[in-house]
Amino acid sequence: MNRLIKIDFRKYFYNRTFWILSALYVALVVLVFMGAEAFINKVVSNVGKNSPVTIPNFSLYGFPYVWHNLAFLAGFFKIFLAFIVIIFITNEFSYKTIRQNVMSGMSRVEFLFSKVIFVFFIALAVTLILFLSALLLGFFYTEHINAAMIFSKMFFVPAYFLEVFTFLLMAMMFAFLLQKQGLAIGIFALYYYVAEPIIAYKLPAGVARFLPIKMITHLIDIPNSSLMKLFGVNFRETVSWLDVWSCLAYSVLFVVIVYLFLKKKDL
Amino acid sequence: MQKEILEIRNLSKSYGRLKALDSLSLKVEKGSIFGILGPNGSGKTTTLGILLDIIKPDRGEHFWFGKKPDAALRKRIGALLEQPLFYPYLTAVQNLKIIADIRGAGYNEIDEVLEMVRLSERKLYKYSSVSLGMKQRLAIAAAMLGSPEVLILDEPTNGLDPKGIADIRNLILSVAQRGFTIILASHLLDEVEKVCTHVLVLEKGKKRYAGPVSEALGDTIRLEVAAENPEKLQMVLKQIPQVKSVTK
Ligand SMILES: Nc1ncnc2c1ncn2[C@@H]1O[C@H](COP(=O)(O)OP(=O)(O)OP(=O)(O)O)[C@@H](O)[C@H]1O
Ligand SMILES: [Mg+2]
Repeated sequence: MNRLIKIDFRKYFYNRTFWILSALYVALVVLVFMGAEAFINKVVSNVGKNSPVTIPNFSLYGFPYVWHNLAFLAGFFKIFLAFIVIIFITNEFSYKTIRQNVMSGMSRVEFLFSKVIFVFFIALAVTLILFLSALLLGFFYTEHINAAMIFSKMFFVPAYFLEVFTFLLMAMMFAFLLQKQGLAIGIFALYYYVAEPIIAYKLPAGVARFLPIKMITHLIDIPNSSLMKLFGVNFRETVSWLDVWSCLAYSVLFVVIVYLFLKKKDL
Repeated sequence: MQKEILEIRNLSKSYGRLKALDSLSLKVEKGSIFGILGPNGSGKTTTLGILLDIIKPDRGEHFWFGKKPDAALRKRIGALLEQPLFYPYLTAVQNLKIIADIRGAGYNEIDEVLEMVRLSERKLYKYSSVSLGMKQRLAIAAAMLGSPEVLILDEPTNGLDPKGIADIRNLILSVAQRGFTIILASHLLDEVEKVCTHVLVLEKGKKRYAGPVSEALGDTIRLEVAAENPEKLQMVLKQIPQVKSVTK
């Protein structure tokens, strides 16, 4: 496994596009994390100018809610990571380096495994960014901190990891099956933003909730806010085990589909 | 000690209705320089692709070193298939390091193989920035990493200048002298004749002849050739002593 990591590492480490896209992602997410609270409050106070009740200010960064809030926010940017995954996997097909890798003595399973590791490390890295951002902002903005407050909702961090990991494995599957960069990116985005929502709409709700994107986004529900509470809306502040197991099952499924596909395919 | 390094049994591969390879059986002896000769589209690359697990056959099987092939056995085979395939943004050395890691070869071999193909001066150049001939030579260097027992070269002199072609032929001969087996696909009779001990002649995916080159040349081989000026070609061909008959 170390050997596979070493081989793949070289493919990205010396690639300028990889670093540019990564830096863009980090900059974007960190900026959004830091600016979100001010932005939301500005919008709300504008909208609520004529409201009879005074709308309370949002506080995004207090422990323990900061974990949930930032994990939810970060979820919007995972499509960006999916594009990185698709670009680098389809590259192996357009450069035909997958051929060179296999004929040099890498098995098809090892090749697939090296991409699962790639996806794993990306998910791990962005989870780390989330963890550190939430921790720092939490410490900065929370008064009277105690350990229980910090830890009580930290489970949103591993949930976010699972969300990204499953999502990126799905992107990986699209990359392997379609192989052409533009096509894979286009079809994946289309499925994510258009096709699945339509399918979900046509299916009975009980079935639709098990569609992959639905399942993945359902892991981390919309955070509650004082505003929503005002309207009596109450979202889920937990992560359900059913969601966790479903995402894991999807992860396995995506990898198995690629495996079956690669096994018989001319490269 | 087993004599056959490779055995092929009834390999077939079709693309739609086109039979790229039609029930090919073959044995390659250890230490031979085995040529695969045939015009464009005769199934040379298809055959080699199957032997390297790049292409999946519809029927048939093959054995490397007397065993069912797998990834570990492929590490004992060095190959250049059709065209050089590397990461364009990496240098020659970085590309070779990836292959060395895949094959479990030491990085110290990299300088050696680059020297063999006279690419040492360009080793820190990005792959995308070197000439076609240099790319081809890098692919040959990659094939030699990890001291493989078998070298598979599919049109290795493609895109090389006369000096490069001579270099590669000498390289093939010197590698063969060390007891390696070489499988060389080419559409050039001349190339096969100059370096090979054995030859398989393919035509439209079918075996036309397989055996020692000396016998093949004693026998008659029918070859199709084309030129812009067929009359002139015919005249030239008739002057070659080995050519028995020319038909249009
Ligand atoms: N992926 C593919 N899809 C469809 N047909 C293919 C494919 N690959 C090869 N073929 C066809 O199979 C036949 C054999 O091709 P192959 O590449 O093995 O020939 P070759 O002997 O290597 O020719 P060349 O001298 O041009 O390299 C050709 O007719 C080719 O068009
Ligand atoms: Mg060919």
